[in-house]
Amino acid sequence: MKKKLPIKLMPILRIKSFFATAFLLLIVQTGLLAQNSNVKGIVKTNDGTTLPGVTVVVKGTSTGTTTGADGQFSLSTPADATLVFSFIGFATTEVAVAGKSQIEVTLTESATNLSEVVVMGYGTQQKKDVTGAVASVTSKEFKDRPNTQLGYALEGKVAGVQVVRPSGQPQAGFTIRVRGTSTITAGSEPLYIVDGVPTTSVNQINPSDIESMSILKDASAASIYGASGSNGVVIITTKRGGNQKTKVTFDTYMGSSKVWRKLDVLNATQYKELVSEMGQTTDWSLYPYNSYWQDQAFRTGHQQSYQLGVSGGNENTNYYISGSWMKQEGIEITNVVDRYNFKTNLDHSVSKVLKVGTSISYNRWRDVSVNETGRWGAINSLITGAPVTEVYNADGTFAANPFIPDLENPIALLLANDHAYVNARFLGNVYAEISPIQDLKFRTMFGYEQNNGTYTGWVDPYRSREGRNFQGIADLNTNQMTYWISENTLTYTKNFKKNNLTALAGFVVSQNDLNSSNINAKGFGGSAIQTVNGGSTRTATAGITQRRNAAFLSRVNYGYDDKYLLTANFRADASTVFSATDNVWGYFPSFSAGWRISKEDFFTGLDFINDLKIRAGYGEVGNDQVGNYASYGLVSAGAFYVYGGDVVPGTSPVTLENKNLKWETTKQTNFGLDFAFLDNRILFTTDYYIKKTTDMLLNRPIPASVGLPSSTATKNIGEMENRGFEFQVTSHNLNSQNELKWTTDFNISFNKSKIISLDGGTIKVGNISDRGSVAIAQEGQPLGLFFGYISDGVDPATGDMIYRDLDESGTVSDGDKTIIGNANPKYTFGLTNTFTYKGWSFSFFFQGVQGNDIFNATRIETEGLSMETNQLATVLDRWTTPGQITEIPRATYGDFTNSLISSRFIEDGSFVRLKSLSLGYELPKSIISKLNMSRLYLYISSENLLTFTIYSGFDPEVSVYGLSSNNTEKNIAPGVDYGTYPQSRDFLVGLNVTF
Amino acid sequence: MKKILNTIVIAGILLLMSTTYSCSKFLDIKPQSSLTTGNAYNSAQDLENALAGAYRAFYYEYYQWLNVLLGDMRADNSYIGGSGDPPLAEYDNVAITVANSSNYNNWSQIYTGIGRCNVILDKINTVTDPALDVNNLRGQIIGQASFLRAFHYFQLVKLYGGVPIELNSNSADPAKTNLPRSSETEVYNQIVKDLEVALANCPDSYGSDDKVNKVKATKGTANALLAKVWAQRSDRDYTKVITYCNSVINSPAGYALMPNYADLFDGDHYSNSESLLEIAFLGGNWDVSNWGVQLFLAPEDGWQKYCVPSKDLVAAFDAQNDVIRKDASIVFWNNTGWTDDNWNPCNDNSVAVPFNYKLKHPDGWNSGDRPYLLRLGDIILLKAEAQNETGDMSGALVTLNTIRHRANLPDATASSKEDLRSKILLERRLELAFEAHRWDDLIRLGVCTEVMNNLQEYRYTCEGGTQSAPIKINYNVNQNKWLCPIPQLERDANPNLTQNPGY
Repeated sequence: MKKKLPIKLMPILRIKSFFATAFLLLIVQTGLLAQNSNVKGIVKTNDGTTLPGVTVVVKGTSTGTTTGADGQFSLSTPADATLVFSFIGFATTEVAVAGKSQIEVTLTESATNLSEVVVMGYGTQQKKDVTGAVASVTSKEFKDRPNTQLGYALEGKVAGVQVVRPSGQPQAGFTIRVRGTSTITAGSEPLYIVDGVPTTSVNQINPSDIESMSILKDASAASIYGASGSNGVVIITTKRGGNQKTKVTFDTYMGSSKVWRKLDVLNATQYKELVSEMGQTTDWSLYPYNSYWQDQAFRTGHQQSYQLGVSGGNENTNYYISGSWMKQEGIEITNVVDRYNFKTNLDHSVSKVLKVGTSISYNRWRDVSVNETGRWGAINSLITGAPVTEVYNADGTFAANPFIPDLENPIALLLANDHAYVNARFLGNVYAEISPIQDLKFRTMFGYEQNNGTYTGWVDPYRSREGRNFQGIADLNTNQMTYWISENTLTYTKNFKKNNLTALAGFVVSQNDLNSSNINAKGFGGSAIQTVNGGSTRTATAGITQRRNAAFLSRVNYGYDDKYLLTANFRADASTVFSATDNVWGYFPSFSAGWRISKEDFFTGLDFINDLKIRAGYGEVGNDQVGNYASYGLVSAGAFYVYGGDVVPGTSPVTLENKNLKWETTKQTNFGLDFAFLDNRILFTTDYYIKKTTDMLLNRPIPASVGLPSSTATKNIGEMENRGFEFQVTSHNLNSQNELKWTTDFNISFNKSKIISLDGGTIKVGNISDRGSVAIAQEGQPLGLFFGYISDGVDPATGDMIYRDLDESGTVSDGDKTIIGNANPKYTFGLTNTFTYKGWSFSFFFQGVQGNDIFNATRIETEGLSMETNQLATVLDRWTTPGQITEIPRATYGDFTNSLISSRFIEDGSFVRLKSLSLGYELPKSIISKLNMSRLYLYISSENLLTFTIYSGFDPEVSVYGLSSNNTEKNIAPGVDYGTYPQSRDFLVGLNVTF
Repeated sequence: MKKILNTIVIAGILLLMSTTYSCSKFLDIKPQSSLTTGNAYNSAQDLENALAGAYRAFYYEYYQWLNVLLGDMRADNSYIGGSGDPPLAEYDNVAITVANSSNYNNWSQIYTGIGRCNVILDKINTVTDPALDVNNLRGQIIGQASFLRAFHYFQLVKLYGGVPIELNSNSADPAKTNLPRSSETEVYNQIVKDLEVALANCPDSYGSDDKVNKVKATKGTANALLAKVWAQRSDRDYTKVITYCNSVINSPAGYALMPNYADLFDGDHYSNSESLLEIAFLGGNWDVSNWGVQLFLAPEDGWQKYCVPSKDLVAAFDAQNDVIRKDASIVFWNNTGWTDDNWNPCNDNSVAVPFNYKLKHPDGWNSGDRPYLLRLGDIILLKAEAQNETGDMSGALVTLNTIRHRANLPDATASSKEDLRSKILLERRLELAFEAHRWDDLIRLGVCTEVMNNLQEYRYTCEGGTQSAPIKINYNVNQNKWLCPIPQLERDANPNLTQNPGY
């Protein structure tokens, strides 16, 4: 920031100094407060473990406390008082004191989620008091399903949260969209907060370590994270110990995965016929083979995972320690991930006023990915690889396409570069909480993340053409990411009469550094040395980038008699992304209110309704997820030239400067309803939202004539809107009175996006080799449309495709292109049924995506009939003789006119998938107690067992550009299948033991 | 305990306040591994660096080898070679589509070269570094940047006809960037304007080191390009062409034909007397080496080899008995495992197949071979053409024969202006083969359609080890195909661009 602190911030600072003064005064006054007669007690769970941190409040008053690390509490209270006990994941329980001085309370895990405590930004709130749109998923809901990634635990569980696996590679991760995509160029992934520390990558977190996840969907909930909350916030809380006997858990599973569908391709004879028909032929006697590459590349991938956890503690200290190892092989050869995780969480109460703690995790993982995208990717090549060769020639070199000498066979593409990423990541924080008086808490937290990644590659100098050409190639790329955050908050809680007030103020600064270097070496004398030092010529590059953020935040929660609930947030955020401009600071307010109608007098008597609350909120959140130096005009210093015999330094401009760049703002209005009835057996939540993004950060394609190598520039232009409905129902069909319990969770989401304005009208992205862009963003239309010609089938006379002549120009021309498909689902749903009977449990989970189109660009390459690559067996129906009626046009060598981007390649991408099916058995306590165990659970499960779809490709769960590092492509071009690695079908056996 | 607490709280508050005060500093960060438009153009050295970066645009793929495909392979000098690579096959077939990825790359690479000149010309007049005013350094930089800009626009106007004329740098405003196409004449006028600036500001040479003189813009290169521009534009002026050619021929820089044609291309004689401007590659250094040669030569590496000499071209050399230039331009190799549709469809190791041999040292993609961007031989033949067109047939023959003598060929004679015109055209074809001139020559003389459609070129297939009957290749050229289409991606980004007719 170049300027002094903006005037607008001064009131916040004044509030802060007010708090600080109050804080100091209150320290002096501690101990002067009046005391009553004491009630002591202990809070336990069903299995006898003591529960720390349980909120204990004298009903109808503000008097309260929380249980200590040993689960004990003591409270002064009138003898006739009723105490209210509440804790995350447990039913709120009321106990009358009735003159007793010692009370023992057992909390049962809540059947309803209304009384649950939800982790919000910078604090927790009881779910019943929440006024924004917040959903939570606890470990209970995913503990018995093997999840290699936490994203899978969220799949189909929460209305309004769409989890897409862009690829079936185990390392591909997932993309999450909360209430649709609300921007075009800036990032659209939600903000992840792990134990209070924001992070961008959660793929490596071990799901077994997670206690709960909260998803803040609307702006009133998310705006406390102002700067980066516009895509929603996922708050991940990991497991911590309690005052309990030491508990040891051991979880393991193993299983196998396979591709669930293979595609028919031309065999060698049919392939020879096809290329000969295209006028391409060679001495076929040299190619006597018939390879079906899919059989050679796809395999049964094995996976296994082991996790050992120890937790426990005493009244002052609790801990959680875990270590795990997992290995997962992809369904294509060479593709593998293995990962070690270590985790420690520790909390210690130094005294009644001071508590310190830490959360530390360390992961190390090694992965070998396959390059899957596009024409020459590892999946597309399985179809296009010429079937007439084997993997190796007689001399041990890789066999190539007979006509394209630099295109080696698909197995060679997988084997030629022996590469791996090895990453090590430390993520941790330390905190101190000081509560000088009961109502005031100062918390300071310092979080740190370091991620070191190393990529090594080796192409030997013999087998592949590339290797022979350069006499071997070795790569060594390293990158080091360092992030730190300092967070300081002051919370004041005051309950008086029927009023509940919580106020929060804080100050946060953070910094992110990225340091990368790449070395490439060529010219090796042999294969003995495979590291870059062995090469005779080398090139090297390096770069450092940095980003900093600062923020002031504040929030007030006010409730009256549990009936009227108000929340207000204000956050001022600064980002160095805008440091070349005067717009470093952005200001993000929000308000929300709730009305619990069921608490009103006129509702008494309607006993079947347990809870009815309506909510409304409005808020603004920001987005700065663009390049660290997006506001600068960058000039590269790598443009060397040669004068005389000498290399001289040179520079070249790379990006456009933009002094007007500023925060993108998303304004969201939310209306919600929470409804619980029939003895809390049916819980229903619905929300309606309007999410409007203004000053959209947009990488506007700029004409190449501007003279820069980057074809886009970041600007604030355009507006877009997402509107949608979300419904979430949990029904305890058969409840706890029966031995057979049956719970159904169902959620369904409807989202509609619309681009309100876009400077210049349209943006086209998603390049398909030699056919141009497939996706379009256009004013007045939703995001995620396909653009191309309308195909009217094959002309029986000529065998050529007929494209509808929309502009009546008489030729196939630009004017004929129109919108030909929509990648947005009309709705998505998740349905989970869980049955338990004595020790048995059975659950199945369906996920559905309906009404979306997929652009099958894989078929452009595999039914395009324009190159000497192999094709799908469907091209056997290609046009060959005049008069023939067929869907597949004639082969035209070197001419793509018959396979332009057209409605021919649009397919219905709807699917319903049995994502997970699992059957488990918990051995009776009577048996396992003899083994000194407290729980032994065995299960078998299957992922992606059934898929119902009419999509013709490998798999309907695709998003080739979901893997892209280019957000614009990622946001505008969903639903494109271009050699996408398919999802696998997995079978797993697992065992969870607790000692 | 209280004491500790108080200390912590006070320390916390102090920390908070100090952080707040240093906030403005904390939030002001600049790129560390990159320059910015704010700090990259402030001194004489900065501008020298920017100028080196502008020259580096010659390392772009377009100048490294694709200009040869467009200049020779699109015309009648060569085939694509081997098979495939559809975007490049479209050049060979003269059937370039709007989505052709290579066509877009050419467009954007050439414009990037222009952008590097624009930023220099934008910034230089506000830089106050006194070093700029020593020995007219400022003028020299302006002159060189202007020349380079003209050179790039000359490529664009030949490839696409009228194009948008962008003379500024760094605007994010679509009103300024979404320029409509200017007419061909307007583009040529801009080129001439820039070249006149170059002529006024560039020296004849930069000193005694020809390794510097031949890689930088000089008065000689400006005159040569002016000659080519005035010949190529449709409102051509051959009188001006003669004037500018003479300025090159009589330049104080002392340009002279190399006595031995083969020396021009043997890799040992770069920066020679005949060279006006060459791309300064340095072998063995990946940052500054030429990888384009490998795409023409070294068939044993198994990569596709492009620009395989056509039978028509080989016949043209043979008809003249032009051994010297044929041997310097084409090499016949057998036993390379090479298969193609034109020379060796059945992969017969005894069949000798020709390759483009103008650059001779592939060196594993790491070559120091230097393509000529401008050389005297071209200018002399251009002068002969201009003399003939302006009615000076005898003068034209004298000029023409200086080139023929060097190739050990007898004097040419001509029965008419038309006869001489076609003889000069043929001479250019043989003298300048694979130097990216042929297509422009056919266009300039208006014979492109006729030459291409009259070509008797054949390809073959291999049926069970036997070469098939010849299959005639039809190029179906019409005047619309003289120009490449405006790339669709560019039209997507700039809605003000119109397409060329026929696309």
